[in-house]
Amino acid sequence: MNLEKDVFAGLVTSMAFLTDSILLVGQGPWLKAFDVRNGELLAKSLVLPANRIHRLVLEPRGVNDEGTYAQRRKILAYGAKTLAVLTIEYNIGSSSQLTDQSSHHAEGNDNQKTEVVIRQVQQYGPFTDWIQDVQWLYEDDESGVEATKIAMAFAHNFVEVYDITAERPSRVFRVQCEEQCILYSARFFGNTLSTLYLGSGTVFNEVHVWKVSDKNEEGFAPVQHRLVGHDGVIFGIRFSDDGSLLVSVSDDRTIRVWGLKDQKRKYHVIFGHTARIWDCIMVDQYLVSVSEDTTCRVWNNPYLQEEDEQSDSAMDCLACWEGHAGKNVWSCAVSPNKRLVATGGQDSGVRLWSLKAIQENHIESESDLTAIDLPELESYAPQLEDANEFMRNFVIVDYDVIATFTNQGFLLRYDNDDQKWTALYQDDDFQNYAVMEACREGQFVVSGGLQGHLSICHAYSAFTPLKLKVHNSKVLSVFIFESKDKGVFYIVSIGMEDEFYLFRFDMRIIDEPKIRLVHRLQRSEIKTTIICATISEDDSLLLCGSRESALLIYRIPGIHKDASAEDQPTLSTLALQLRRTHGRQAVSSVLVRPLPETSSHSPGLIVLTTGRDGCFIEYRLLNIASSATEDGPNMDIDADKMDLVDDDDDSDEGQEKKAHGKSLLIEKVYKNRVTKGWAEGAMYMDGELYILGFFRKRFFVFNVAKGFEMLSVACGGAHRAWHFLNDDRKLAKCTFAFFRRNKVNTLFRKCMPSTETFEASVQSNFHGKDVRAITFLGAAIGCQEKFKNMPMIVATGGEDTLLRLSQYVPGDLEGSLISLRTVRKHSSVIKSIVYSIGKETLLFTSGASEELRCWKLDSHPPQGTLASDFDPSKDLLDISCLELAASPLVSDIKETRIMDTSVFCIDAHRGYHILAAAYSDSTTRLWLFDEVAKKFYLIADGVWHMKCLLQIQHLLVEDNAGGQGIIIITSATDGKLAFWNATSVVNQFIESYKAGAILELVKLPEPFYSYQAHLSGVNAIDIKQQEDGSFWLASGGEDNAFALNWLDIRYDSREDVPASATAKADIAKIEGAHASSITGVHIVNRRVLTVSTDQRLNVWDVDTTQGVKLSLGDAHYIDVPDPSAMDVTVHNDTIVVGVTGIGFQLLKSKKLM
Amino acid sequence: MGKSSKDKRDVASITLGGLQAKEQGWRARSAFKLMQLDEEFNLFEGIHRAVDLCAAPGSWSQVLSKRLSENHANNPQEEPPKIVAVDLQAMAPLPGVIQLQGDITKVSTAEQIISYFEGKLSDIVVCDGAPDVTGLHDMDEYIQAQLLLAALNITTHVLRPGGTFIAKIFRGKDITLLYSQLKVFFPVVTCSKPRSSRNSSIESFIVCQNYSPPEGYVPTMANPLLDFHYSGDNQLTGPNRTIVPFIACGDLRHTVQLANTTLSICSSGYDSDMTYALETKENGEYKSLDPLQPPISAPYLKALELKRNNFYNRVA
Repeated sequence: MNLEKDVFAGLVTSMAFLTDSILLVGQGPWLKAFDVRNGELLAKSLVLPANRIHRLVLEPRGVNDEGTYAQRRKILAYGAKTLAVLTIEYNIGSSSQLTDQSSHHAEGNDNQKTEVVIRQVQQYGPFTDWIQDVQWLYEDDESGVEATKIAMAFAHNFVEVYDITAERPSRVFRVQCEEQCILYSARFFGNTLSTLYLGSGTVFNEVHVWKVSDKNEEGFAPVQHRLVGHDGVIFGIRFSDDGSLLVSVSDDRTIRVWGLKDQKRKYHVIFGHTARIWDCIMVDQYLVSVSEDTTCRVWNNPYLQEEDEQSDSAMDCLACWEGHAGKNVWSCAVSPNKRLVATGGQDSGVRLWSLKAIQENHIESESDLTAIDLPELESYAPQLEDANEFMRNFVIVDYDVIATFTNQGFLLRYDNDDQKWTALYQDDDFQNYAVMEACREGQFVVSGGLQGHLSICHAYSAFTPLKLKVHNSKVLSVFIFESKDKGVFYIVSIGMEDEFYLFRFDMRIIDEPKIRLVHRLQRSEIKTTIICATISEDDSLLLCGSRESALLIYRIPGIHKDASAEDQPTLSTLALQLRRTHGRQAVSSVLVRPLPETSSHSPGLIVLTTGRDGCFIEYRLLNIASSATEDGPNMDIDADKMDLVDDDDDSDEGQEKKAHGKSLLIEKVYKNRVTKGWAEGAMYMDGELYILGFFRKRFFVFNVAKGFEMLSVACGGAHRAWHFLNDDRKLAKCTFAFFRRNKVNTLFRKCMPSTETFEASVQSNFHGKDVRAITFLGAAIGCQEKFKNMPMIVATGGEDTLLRLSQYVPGDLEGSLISLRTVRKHSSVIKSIVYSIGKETLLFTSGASEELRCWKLDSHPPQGTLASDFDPSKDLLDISCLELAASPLVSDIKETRIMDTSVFCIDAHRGYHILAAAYSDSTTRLWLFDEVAKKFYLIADGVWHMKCLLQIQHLLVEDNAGGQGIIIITSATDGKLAFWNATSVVNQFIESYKAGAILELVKLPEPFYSYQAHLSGVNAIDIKQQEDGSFWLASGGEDNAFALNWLDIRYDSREDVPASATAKADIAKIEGAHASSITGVHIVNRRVLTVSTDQRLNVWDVDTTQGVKLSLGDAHYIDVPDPSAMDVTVHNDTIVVGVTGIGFQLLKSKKLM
Repeated sequence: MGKSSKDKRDVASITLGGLQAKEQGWRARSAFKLMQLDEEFNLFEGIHRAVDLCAAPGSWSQVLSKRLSENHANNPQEEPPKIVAVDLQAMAPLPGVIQLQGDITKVSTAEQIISYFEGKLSDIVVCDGAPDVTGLHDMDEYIQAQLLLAALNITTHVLRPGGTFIAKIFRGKDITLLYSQLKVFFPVVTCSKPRSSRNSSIESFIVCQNYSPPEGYVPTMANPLLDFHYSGDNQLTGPNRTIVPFIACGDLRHTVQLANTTLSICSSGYDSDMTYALETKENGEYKSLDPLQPPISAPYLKALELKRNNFYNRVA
């Protein structure tokens, strides 16, 4: 059949940057070269047939051919027990997308295309043992000649050195480490034999460093450093460039950094990944690690931190990059200029990240900040000569706009765009003192003065400044909240009195703003200085936090109503007071949001406070809807006596955990200390919690969910006046400002300043977990349109619960599988995908948890392209998947899985489809799906195998009288195949259904034929009618066997004649067809394809001249581990085979004659 | 591999095998696998000395102890049974089983085993060990193969000619290399999959009978046994591959009756893939299923503890 391998999607296990713009990727047995500037695949070469490339090792010194731009570099690629020595020739052309000047000059060549040629020099092996690392060796450190030897480290902890200058490599050195045990990882350091060290990661959780050229009396190499501390096997080891540090990663989910020159043997442990860690690279002051948890993280290297920062900053995680799907990021590489990190995932994806951007999130110097100073006094107050003028206070009005009150009572606006100052307002009542708050939404500033005045000024003078006397003496603080009504705001003003005030500020008519006192709020009897507040308008609640560590909750009834001006302001007393929430430290911010509707406690609020004890606390506030009068006079609770509620703990002993009066109920849900410094603020961005704070000399923004520091600014320490404004989850646009030395120091960030251009996704994602189902959609595509050239569409599903629809697009170097649609609806694994064409094209997906869903598939050429012009080699099909229905759950048993399905359309005019499903509770079930009513009806079920069913197929057999028999074939873990005649139960149901009556569920008649095909599970079956009307039933089993039964199947529509199946010959069986279980079987013409967990695809020739004879035709090694499903289609006269498992592989035959 | 999520699918719900094992006092579900292998291969007839490698938590030692005591009870005139369980880590004591905490790659371990047998060799060696899988299938298969070869190597020191060796294997892409290696020492090599091992699991067992080392073979631990390469007799693909016979074994008809549990379907044996309905007589509620023997200490315990204590979420 001569199948050739085409698309492969699978684990990306190795990567290396050839230059700053060329990334080498080892995926399966192939080495690929990509241009990182545009994601173009430049070269692809099969370098390790039947093995996966585990690592790529570039020769340290490249060679420049004189007089040309062409450069050469040698590279070693190894996997398992084989090694390939390759030469890569390349020249770098300009990329239209390249804007980085420095690398443009270094590498660019305007008139040439970037070209890469991979030349295989030699393939060595198999060696006696599994290779864990290889290294280029030079004769000495100085000489400029090429490397002459290769050192290889093997899994049994020995090293061999080979001379590669001769035709055949010869072993010139061998040494076994004194520690003889299996290694999970190893890494060389040094490029000459006399300076060569090996770091060995043992199965016993230790890292050993030994000198390759040393031998003890017994001839073994002694271990120089035993690095003990990991609690799990070592998956990765790297040395720093100078060899003074070693970093190791382990099963124990830690990264450890060890000092090798350090006598004290001190090491640092980094926790933070939530699963196993595969690799970690040291890059200057950073560590870059990849993990099973699907993330790549960047950390500060604790070893390189200053002594006084070490203990605290060791856990600094600076970035958490999530660009891969499913499970595992397997590989990573850093570009030579240290600006880019590439990651390779289980999902076949190759992604690029900017390491440069990390530096930009870590603001170290004042040069990155804008220091804003007052303009010359005479520019806004020429009359005040020699006055003592300086900024008293400031606010951020907008990303580029600051407002300040000066000592002389001037309110000034600063626009960073033109760096100009504008005077907005002057009032002597605001001399020497001003508290300020700004509202970005309303573009106004509220200030409080020493004499108890409030002023409200529009930043662009849209209305005349308002001024009102509110307090008897100085205003302590003001707060502004937005109403849901656009243009309406609430202002809280707090003075020295026993009560404070809530105003409604209405600027819907911009030049006629109105302010009205709506609530008077009684201060707590205990000493409280409110320093933060928030409002829940829907719930009529005001929540405040105090310097004395109290959380204060007021009911402010009727606030959301636009009450008429005549209403007298109501006086509200404290509804709830929770003292000592953050120990004795100030509550620095308070935040509310509704409980998710899915919460069993809903409705209610989540209240979040941050404190200067470095903690944030999450509370649940319930019983809000009850009326205010039900609250106690002053519910006063000491938070110290409040434990966390445990939602898993149903016992009712939690009296102390909950604090409630007659109505309002507050529960402490979660408390977490995020810093040893101050937690000063919190915000939710896309549902993720960010905490703002100060620690030592820095301001930080910390992503709590992902556990990393998103922004860090050296600002000298916590400040009396600081503000932070941001709008997006990446903090790409934000403004941070603080007072220092009478200036407003400001970080204005409009976008990531990094100007690097690179393609973030060099190779796209496929399923990130095992794929369990594959179906070529063939005829299901383009039913409505006449394509001249049909695109090849494949539907896949698996453990990641995603249904993917992808188009195969042929390419020069390799075809690609381009994702058209990804549908997340299933809650657990998808095991089967089938389609049926009735009135519409329907797709049925099914799997675990008894999920069976029906989708309407709609596909057409992209907008503006005629079907007749559609070119599937470049145009992508526009395809949509609309869910029509999900089947009801019918099994009495929890966790029943649908193992397989088979479907056909029984009445296209009415849109009736019959779907047969094999369930893990051993039941065969038949469904009617009515696409007009969009409903499933259970017709019949039957149990016969008494074991878990595995496969199901239907067969339509015609009899002489023109009747059509419906035969269902099932297989199970008992090794048997059974034939069921479902004709009459289906027909009776359909007839009755047409007449408007839905029949009760009936039992399927017992199977009319069965046979023992295998010793245990029958994992795969296929049945095809032959030219003479007989059938072939091919089956593959867990027992490695492949069987073919040649059958006559007869059906008679007369009631009294039973259906029958008779074997025309003995069942043909190849016992050891594969070395492992067969998971896919397909009959194609007169051949049968089988695929097995042993990663082989066998093509069997079938000879039926005398009985049935099977013989092995072709055999192919499959690069997909754990192949679990196969589908075959004929497309443009080519046989196309798709195999899925941990990844996907497509094989194509030559054109059929 | 070994532990695909498919295998874990019903950890949260009801693992009938586990429930059965617990009811019958076995330390792990894998006890049934050895019993089913015994049903097929009649492993323990006339056996007095047995070695269990990588024994923890000890369910196979339990089976050995039970079967060998039965042998002795039936034939009290014969020598009393001796079972040695070897593991790197300690396990809870088992009556009738001598525990040896040691490394199977060390000669000293082999010597100790033989000294327990008073200089005699063992009749059978079993090994149910498997490494934690990484998800890199080729690597996992390699490590499993090394474990098996290490077990085979010590077996060549302690097994009597004619004896039996049983070990867990992953039937992956290079399994035929392992078959070739085993066939050097055993004329009869069978791959068997007990029904109590899930259909979807890559795990199987290799049953190697009639130990017959090559002439002049001297057991040594100085060098590890290494697996073979593809050759003319055993090619990468095609018809010439070393594939050993496969036998499915086990029919737990007799053991499926549980004390408090009735199975809705139990006529032809328990199927580890099948979804069963369980009804218990107590309140009609599902039984809770704690692990039979608590899991071996996980390497990430510390990381979990720190996460629980909010250690992860700290900055600066």
